[in-house]
Amino acid sequence: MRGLSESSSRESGQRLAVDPTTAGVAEAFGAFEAFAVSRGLPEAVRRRMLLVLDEVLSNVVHHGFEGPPPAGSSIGLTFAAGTGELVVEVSDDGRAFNPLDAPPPDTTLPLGVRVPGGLGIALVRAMLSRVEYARRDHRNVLTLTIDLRADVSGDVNGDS
Amino acid sequence: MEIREEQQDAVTVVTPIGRLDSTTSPTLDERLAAIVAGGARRLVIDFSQVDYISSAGLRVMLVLAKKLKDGHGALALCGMPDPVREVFSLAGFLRLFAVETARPAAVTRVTA
Repeated sequence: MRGLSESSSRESGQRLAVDPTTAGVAEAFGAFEAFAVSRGLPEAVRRRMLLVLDEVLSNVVHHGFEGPPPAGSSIGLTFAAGTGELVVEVSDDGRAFNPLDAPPPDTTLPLGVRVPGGLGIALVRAMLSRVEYARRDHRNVLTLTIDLRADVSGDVNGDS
Repeated sequence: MEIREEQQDAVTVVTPIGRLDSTTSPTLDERLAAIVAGGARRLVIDFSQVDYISSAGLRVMLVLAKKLKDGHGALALCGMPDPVREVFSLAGFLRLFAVETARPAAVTRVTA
C-alpha cells in the first residue's frame, strides 16, 4: 500500500497517491476527512465531497481497468482549501474515460422508462459547484470544486 | 451489513443498518430480491439506521421499485436522516418514491 507522500504547507494543500483498490480508496477517504477536519470545513461540505469521492473512486476501481490494475498503477489526489473553494483533484492511469460525457439521466421520466445508469455522475454534478475533466500525461484528471461561499443546493433537474 | 426484517400484517418492513455504498448495497439488493421472490408485495424500507447512501444504494431502491411495480406491489420509504434525504433529493429520487417521515405512515401508505 502506497502511503502519504509529502504534506505541504497549509496554504498549498495536500497531495497523496493510493493504490487503485478498495483499500486505497479507504485510505483516500481517511486522508480527505483528516484534511477537512484540519481546515475546519463545514460538515455538509465534507459529506458532499466524501460522497463525490466515493462515486469517482469507485468508478476508477471498478471500471477503470480491464482486469487487475498493472503494478505501479496509482490514483493521485490533491486537496486544497484556500481562496473560498474546496478543490480536490483526482487522477488515475486507467483507460481513457471522461465520466462527464455520459448524458445526465432524465429523472423526470416515469419509473418504467428510466435506465439506472449515469446516476453516480449525476450525483457528482449535483453535489459540486464545478467539475472538469482533462486528459494529461496518459491520466484521467477530474477537478472537483465546491464553492465554500455558495449554497450548493438543487437537484439534478435544476430545481431545489 | 445487518438487515432487519419484520412483518406487520401484510407489510414487510426492512431496516438496513449502516452504510449503503458500493460494497454493502449488493447485500441489500440480494435480500430484497429474495423477499420479493418469496412473494412479498408490500414493502417498507426504513432508513432510520442508514447513515450514508451513495448511488449504489439508490440503484438498489430503483431496482426494487421497478420489480414491485411490475408485480403490482407497493413500496414506501421512511425514516430518512437528513444526509440520506439530501442524496435522494439531489438525485431527483424523492419524487419517484412514496416517502414518509414515520414508519406507521409508510405502512399505511402501502396498505392503502
